[in-house]
Amino acid sequence: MPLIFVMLFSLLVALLAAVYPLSPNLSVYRPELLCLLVIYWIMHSPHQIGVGIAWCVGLLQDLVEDGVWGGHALALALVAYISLMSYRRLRSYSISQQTFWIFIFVGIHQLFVNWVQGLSGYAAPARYMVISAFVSAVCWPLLVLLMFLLLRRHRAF
Amino acid sequence: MFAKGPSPGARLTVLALLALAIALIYSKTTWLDGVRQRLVDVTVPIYWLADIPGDIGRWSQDRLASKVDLQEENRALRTEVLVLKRKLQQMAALTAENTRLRQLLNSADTIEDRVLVAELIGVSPDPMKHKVMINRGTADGVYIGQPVVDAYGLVGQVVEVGKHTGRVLLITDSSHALPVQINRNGIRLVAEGQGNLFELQLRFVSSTMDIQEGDLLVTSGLGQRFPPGYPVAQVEKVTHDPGKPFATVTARPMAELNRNRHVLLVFDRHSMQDEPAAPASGN
Repeated sequence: MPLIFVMLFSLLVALLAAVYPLSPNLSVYRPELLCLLVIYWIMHSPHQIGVGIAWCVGLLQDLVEDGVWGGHALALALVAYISLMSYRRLRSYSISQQTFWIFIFVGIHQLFVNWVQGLSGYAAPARYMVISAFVSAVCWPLLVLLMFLLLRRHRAF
Repeated sequence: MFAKGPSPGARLTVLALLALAIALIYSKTTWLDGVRQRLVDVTVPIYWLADIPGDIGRWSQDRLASKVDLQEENRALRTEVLVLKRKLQQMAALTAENTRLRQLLNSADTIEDRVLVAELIGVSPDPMKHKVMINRGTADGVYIGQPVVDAYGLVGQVVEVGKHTGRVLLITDSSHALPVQINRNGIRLVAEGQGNLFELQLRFVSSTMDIQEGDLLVTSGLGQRFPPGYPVAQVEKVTHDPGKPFATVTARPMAELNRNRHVLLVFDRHSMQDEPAAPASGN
């Protein structure tokens, strides 16, 4: 299967997961799969995926989630930039070290998303951001394992 | 490393500024409202798609329910119908009497509202934002500002509508407020959403006002948005603080905002005739 289809399909699944109906109590624990995937694909093929694509994916998420438009676009572009600058280092890390860095990355992502959401009065309490970053970081090893199994011919790290 | 075009840093700067510009335009002006309305029909079906696993679950539950369970449920429903029918018998007589009395008083007849059942196809993924998506749109006559109720009380109002889908803002959203009335004595108040599905707060309740725990709040019909008389919430707690000019009153919404699958769209004659009315003046 060409790599581009895997990328598009994974992003579509992540978008569906982002709007999967959950009760407000549970949706605090929703992992930021789109953010994880953008980081993953940048680490995987940094010359194909960049800040621009991440920005477009973020805007799409904004349109679907109906938050303040531009919030996820800004945050994902920023996370994409940091990942682009550090993908060589990240690749050489062990999974546990990567997981820690993902916690920081998703934390930055949440910070910016929330800052923009705050423009229309929907800012979430800080503990929601930490929970979300934590759950996302826990999902990282699973995502890496899943992709390792899926991408037989296209493994990059 | 040898990528063509501007560097990632330059791209990030431009795109970040663009995103911020969009965010500011979105939240501070109404320029993007037209685009938002048009996008409802594109984005809401994604919620429907995401809900398919849940749909399959419910479908199989219906299919695989045992005969005993179904008979049990059937019996319970029959009993309920019987009870409701008995209430309805009195209702007919009372409605007639009410109409006669109103005619005596020369006031307008109350018009029975037409309703349309809509199914929920999604809820807002952001826990701070209380919006739900429904499977009805302009093709079914749904309009912006239309009141939405469930079996127990007021749910919210339609804020965005596409051809076949729409978005409903719940009364508990932190940007929502509505005029209500205490059913017991008719005192008018304003109930504000707090971003909590189980709580509404009442604004400007003076410490001397006659309000008790357990009072039922109903829509007052002021503001021309919601038809009068629908239950909204029940007063849960009244706190008088001598240091403050107003009492703090919280109420619990009557509608089952976190668990209903179906809601009713109310076609209210009054609000349909009016143009997207001017904001209600201070009543």
